[in-house]
Amino acid sequence: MHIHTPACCCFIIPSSMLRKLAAQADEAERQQLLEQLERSAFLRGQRAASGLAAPGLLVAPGVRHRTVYDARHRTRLPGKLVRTETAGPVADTAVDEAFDGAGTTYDFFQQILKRNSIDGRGMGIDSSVHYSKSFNNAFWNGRQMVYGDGDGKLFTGFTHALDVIAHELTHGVTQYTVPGGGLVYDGQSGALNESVSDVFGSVVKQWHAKQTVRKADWLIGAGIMTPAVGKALRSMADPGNTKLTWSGDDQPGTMQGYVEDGDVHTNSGIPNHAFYLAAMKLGGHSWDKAAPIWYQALSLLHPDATLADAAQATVKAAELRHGVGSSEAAAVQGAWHEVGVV
Amino acid sequence: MRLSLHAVGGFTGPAGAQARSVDVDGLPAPERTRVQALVQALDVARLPATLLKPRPQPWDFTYTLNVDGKQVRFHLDAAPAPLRELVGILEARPPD
Repeated sequence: MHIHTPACCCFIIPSSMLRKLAAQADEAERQQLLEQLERSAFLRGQRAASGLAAPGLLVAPGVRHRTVYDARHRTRLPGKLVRTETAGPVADTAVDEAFDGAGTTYDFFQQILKRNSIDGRGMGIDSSVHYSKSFNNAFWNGRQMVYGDGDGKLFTGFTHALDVIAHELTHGVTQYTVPGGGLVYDGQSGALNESVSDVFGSVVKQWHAKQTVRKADWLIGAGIMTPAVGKALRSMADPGNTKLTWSGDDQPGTMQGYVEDGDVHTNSGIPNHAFYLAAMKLGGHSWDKAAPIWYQALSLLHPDATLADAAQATVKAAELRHGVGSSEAAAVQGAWHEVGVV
Repeated sequence: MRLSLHAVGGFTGPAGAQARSVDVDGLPAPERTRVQALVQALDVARLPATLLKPRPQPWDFTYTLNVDGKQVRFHLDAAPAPLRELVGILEARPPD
């Protein structure tokens, strides 16, 4: 028997209509419609993530498609659908924080970098909260963002920190922007991948707070740890300064401290500090010049890019944006020189 | 027999690394039988010390499973089916 397998899941009934029908239906029908809505929303995310979206299905720039699920302390994703774009706040802080943070990050990429969502084509932004039990982490799983609640001893949760949300969403941006499918998460390319997420995590936080580079705290994950453990996870201004962060912070800020075979979260301190130095040299707001240069450089990288490749790409991007021999290109070159990469 | 699973990755990296352990002999009978069968199928003594993907991505957590002192470090996508199932069983438990 021949089984026809559709190449694409297309939904004839719009989600807004499904929601209206659900509101008018009896309990059994309502549950069925809501389940259909849940499946539709997740598959929409999957379709976009797998690059199957047909041109007619592209979402117009500026139109956000956020969906939040509750993993209910299990590890099966995405979980139960709890908030969509057209619904208001719910009685769960983590859900609303994930929703709002995804919106702010979407707005930053749209308004400042003219990018339409994670994939540049209006991909739905899916998030799952309350993942696993006492889970001390947040991550991008290639299709969506996932947030634990923390164990309350080391970490207090992740959705209340905008830079964490922007960091995770940026892993998706890197995946879709660096030619070849992103930066391999190991060695120098892995440190670079982590750093790109920290860079845009910090810039989105600064943009939301309307801070200049001199007013910004340049901390990553401020407030996600219990006070007894520390104030933040990382510092871009002074990597490895445990007084600013926490006792286990082992990040180097220059190549002198580069850890051979070190964790990607360790050596990312070096490109993080290079971005900080470049932003300080360029002045003003980090999203005026420094962030657009770093963003443009992503498309000049390759999956195995080294820190030296990143230096070359960001200088090239500065030259493309501001001219060869410009003060901006010199500022970027100078930053990488200070951290010992060039 | 004691199993311990250590996982590192995500936003927090080593700072948020968590371990989940279980004393297999203390498990309820059906789960104990299943875990023992998985460990036997895995043949930990013959496993290489590392089963890592050559080109990992940000969602690839690095796991270390310790079975009575014998360790294997791996990415889930590079692990054999019994190892993946053991991860699922251990991850359903609260961290140590």
